Amino acid sequence: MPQFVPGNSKVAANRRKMLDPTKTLDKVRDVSDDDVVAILGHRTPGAAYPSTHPPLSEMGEPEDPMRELVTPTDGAAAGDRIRYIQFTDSMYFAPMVPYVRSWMASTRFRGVDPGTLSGRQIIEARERDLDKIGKMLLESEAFDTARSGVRGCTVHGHSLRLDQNGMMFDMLARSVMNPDGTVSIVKDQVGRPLDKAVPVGKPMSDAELKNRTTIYRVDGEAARADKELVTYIQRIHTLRTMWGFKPMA
Amino acid sequence: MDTNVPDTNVPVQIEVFTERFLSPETVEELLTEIAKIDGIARLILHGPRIAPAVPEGPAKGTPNVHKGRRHIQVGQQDVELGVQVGRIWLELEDEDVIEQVEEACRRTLPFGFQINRGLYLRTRPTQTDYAKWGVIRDTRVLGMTDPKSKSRICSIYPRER
Repeated sequence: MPQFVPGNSKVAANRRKMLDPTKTLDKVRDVSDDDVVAILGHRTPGAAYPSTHPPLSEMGEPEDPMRELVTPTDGAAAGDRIRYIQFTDSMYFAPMVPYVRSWMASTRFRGVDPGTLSGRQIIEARERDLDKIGKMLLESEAFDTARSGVRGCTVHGHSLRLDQNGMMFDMLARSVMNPDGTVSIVKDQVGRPLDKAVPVGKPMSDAELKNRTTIYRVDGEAARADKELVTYIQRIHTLRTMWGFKPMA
Repeated sequence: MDTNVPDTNVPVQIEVFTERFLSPETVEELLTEIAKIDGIARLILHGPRIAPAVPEGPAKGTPNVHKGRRHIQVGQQDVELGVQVGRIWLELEDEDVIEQVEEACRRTLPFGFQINRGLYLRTRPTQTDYAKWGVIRDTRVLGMTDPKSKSRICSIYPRER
């Protein structure tokens, strides 16, 4: 039984839910396949997947036990290009935090290369795998329409105060709040205007965000108040300090 | 000998720090209220920049349609807002004006704010100022523009000229 993260707080429980691939994430909105492709902006919706090499079945690969053991993903088998989706999550109780997003990509998806930075998180994968991953993430509770964003570049905003209407700051305004309080994505992840806006529904309320967040905050659930988490961090710190990266040696 | 002589040359400067970034409409309302107050020498709107075009990436150069980047009317002056306002720095002629600014903020801002006292605008020219502008006689323009920017200073009180 894998143990994902320690802690007896609600935040720790949310992190475990995100990381455990046996648990299904709540689906909170519908985004069509074509809309996901449009938001990603790597190809025109409906167009064929460009390939970077012939399908594996036609390549005549050499005998290799690892190739027999590991089934290629659909994208790898078809020879798709590697493309990316990048998220920015506000520090104001966004459902996800970059490190948890990367851990989640590692535990839930195959054939991905997640990358973590302070204010953004990128997942690289074969194009048709990425479409499925992007759709799953955009429709799930791991994404909030106001406090999360799909931002390929000019990502600044995660650590800034929120806009007057509760949206995370985005210099390119890829998501806009409509007069009825719903949010629409109007640009792809690098800032090109979409042909038609993609409605993604109302943002979560503050109470709901606090209930679903994976971010420890002093004005929410503080990391230091989680005794189990602190105990484990101190234990790891002690082991690393005294025995480096091989504490059992 | 008592050396704690109060420096009367230190200007009264304050910062209005808002709980959230302001929409252009709120900025317009707030500045209209502030423009009615006598005794404000200088004012700077500060916040993250909203570029007119996408500055980087595959869409570089694409016009950036953003509702935060628009013209607002303050008094008789048309001001182009290029930032999402989150801080307002003011230099006042008198400490008594602080209370009036606070009252104007309370009337117009729909959320909380802080008013901090400090030194936010330069009072002496830097080497860069000298290189760019030469000898500056009107010290009120010091620190009013980004040295890298080509934008001009906006005068809300044309009658003073």
